[in-house]
Amino acid sequence: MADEPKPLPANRRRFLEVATLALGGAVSVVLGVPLVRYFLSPLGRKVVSAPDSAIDVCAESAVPADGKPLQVRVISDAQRDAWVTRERVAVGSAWIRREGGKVVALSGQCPHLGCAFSFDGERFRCPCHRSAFKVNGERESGPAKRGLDPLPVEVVGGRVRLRFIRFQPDVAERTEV
Amino acid sequence: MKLGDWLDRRTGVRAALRWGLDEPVAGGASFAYVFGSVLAFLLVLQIVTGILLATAYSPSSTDAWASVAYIQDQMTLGWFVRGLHSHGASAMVIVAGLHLMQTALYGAYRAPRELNWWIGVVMLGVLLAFALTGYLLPWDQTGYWATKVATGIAGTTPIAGRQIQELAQGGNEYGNLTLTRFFALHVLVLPGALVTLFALHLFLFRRHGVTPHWWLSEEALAKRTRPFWPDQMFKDTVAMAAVFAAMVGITLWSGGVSLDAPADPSTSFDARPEWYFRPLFQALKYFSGPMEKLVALGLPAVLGGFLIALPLIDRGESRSPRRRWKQLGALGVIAVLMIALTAISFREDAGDPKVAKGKQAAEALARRARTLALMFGVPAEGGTAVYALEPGVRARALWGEHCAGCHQGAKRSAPEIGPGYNSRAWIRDFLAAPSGPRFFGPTRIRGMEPALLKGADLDAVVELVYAQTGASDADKERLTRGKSVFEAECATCHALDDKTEGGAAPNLWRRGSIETLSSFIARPDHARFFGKANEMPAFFDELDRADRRALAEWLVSLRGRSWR
Repeated sequence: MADEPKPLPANRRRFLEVATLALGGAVSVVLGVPLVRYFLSPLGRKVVSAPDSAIDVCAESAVPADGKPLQVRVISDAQRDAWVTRERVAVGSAWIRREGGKVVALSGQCPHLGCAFSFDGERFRCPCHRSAFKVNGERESGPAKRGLDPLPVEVVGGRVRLRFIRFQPDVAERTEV
Repeated sequence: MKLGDWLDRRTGVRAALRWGLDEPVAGGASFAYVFGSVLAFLLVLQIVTGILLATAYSPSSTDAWASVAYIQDQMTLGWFVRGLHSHGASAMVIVAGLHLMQTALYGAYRAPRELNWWIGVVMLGVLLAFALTGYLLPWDQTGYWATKVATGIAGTTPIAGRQIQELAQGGNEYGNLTLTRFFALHVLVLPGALVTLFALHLFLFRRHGVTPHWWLSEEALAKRTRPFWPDQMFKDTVAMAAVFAAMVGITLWSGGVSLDAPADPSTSFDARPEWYFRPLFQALKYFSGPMEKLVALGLPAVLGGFLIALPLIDRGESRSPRRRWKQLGALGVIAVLMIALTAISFREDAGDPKVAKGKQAAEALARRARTLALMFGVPAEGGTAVYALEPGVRARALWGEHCAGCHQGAKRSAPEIGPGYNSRAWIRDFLAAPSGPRFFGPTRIRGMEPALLKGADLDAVVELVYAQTGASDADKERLTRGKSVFEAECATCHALDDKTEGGAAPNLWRRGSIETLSSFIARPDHARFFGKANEMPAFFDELDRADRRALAEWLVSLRGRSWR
């Protein structure tokens, strides 16, 4: 390191600089594109999925006759979670009650930001941000933009079955996700 | 350049960049000096691909194989990222070997650079530890069995062997802790160690500079000295791009790296270690008994010891290879021996039909397991549980659980079902004696009389019923005749169309096909089938659609076997 290094001829130096950057850039692109695509792989993909069929949640006789709601666990027969398939997986909860002569169901996820709410004997109250809903699901107060989400129900052979649908949270319009 | 100025005033980034790029390269740029830079590039590549793999990997004995199969077969370009990571490891070992050879040839291990040589030797050890730990992570047959050998060797260490083995594998046996410990080593401990050592290595390298050619005088070297940028950087980049192109080429050509069937301790498996452990693998074949243990533990220790000792035994005046022929010769002999052992090992395998057969079987099993994992996902019980998902296997299990009790064996309460069910021979036998002991005999169903058909008429009806199963080899001419015979002889009770329900006997439309059998298993009491006469339980609730179909598929597969 005794002497100051001698500079290269300008045009050769320029060539080496451009060639180095071009080669390095080419390697970065050939490497970067697949890596980014890999990283984006879960985007828009149904990584967690369960059969679309109706799920048996309780006996019809278990639903209170006085119109009070009953919380039930929604347990799917099967669930595929990325690489695993499991049987009997809890996917969420729902509230079942009688309305007139019919059995109806509300999703157990708050339409605001998806918290689980409870029933205080009169109305549904979400503990996260204090949204409140009437027993029929209608919005009463709080930040929620819509009422509780109804789920399709059928009663077959004395058993209550429902389809568990997830809706986009925090929008006024009810859209499935 | 305002942002640049702002940043520079606060960080001094320009001076740092200049310091980095204007490093004088004694004697000028040379392709001999590219290996270190290529290794740095490969290290970055391994870190990036490793992080991406870690985003989808689950280190547990039930999930590891499944998650790697998911990366390999389901994630966008997962096979490519995993292939690059694996081939990148091989490339690192090769380039590290070349780096070691080049620096040894140039005498770079000598004073004042001994410390940096030693750091390099330790880094080589870390690389091999990476390879060893990474090989197990997919929890496939090869990784599992090869690593068992490695920890087994560690277990033969004198005095504390058992303890060392238990520490390495995290307990008395291979399991979850083996994977979590190997994973922690592979993604936390070893990268931390390697990056730290790399920083030290680079720091010491900058302190002493490259070790230039030995054949030039000090003045000649000084005259040719150039800064790192752009001459040497260009050569480094060319080498990096060449290595990268080779890796991408090999990855594309080989479709990435193989993933064997899930680790199965109940099988025997002739495992091979990663290729860079082949010299040791082959050497161990020549020894047995106590000598084997001695070689397994001693050989790596001797090699490492030799590399560590090299700067201490070479203290001569000159860096000329001719004056150091003893040391370089020893190093050369070691290299040639290792290459020879590797070559012999691969040749022995190539010439051994047993190895080829085992490999073929392993590949077939891996394909089966991965196809099932792709189709159905892996059951929570773990990788080897995929085989139970194979339609036939699953169906046989369902059959044993739900059907065999009534349809199989001497104490049957229903028609016998077994090989040849719904074949032409079965239909013929059935028509001859519907209430016979193999058919409706054990039930209360007595509605059908033996068919009095003979010759071509019988053949034609058999063919017609046989064709309903979806068999593709039904005879067309016989079918036409069969339809008219059916109209005359059978149609009073049996319909043969896709709508009639509630007839005196089951509608025979597509009887014995996968779809009809699935529906029948669900609701045999449906008006289309036995209606009120039915005695079989409906499996609509007990078996889900996929299980009913699996069972139906398996029943249809019985048709191709012979009815006795």
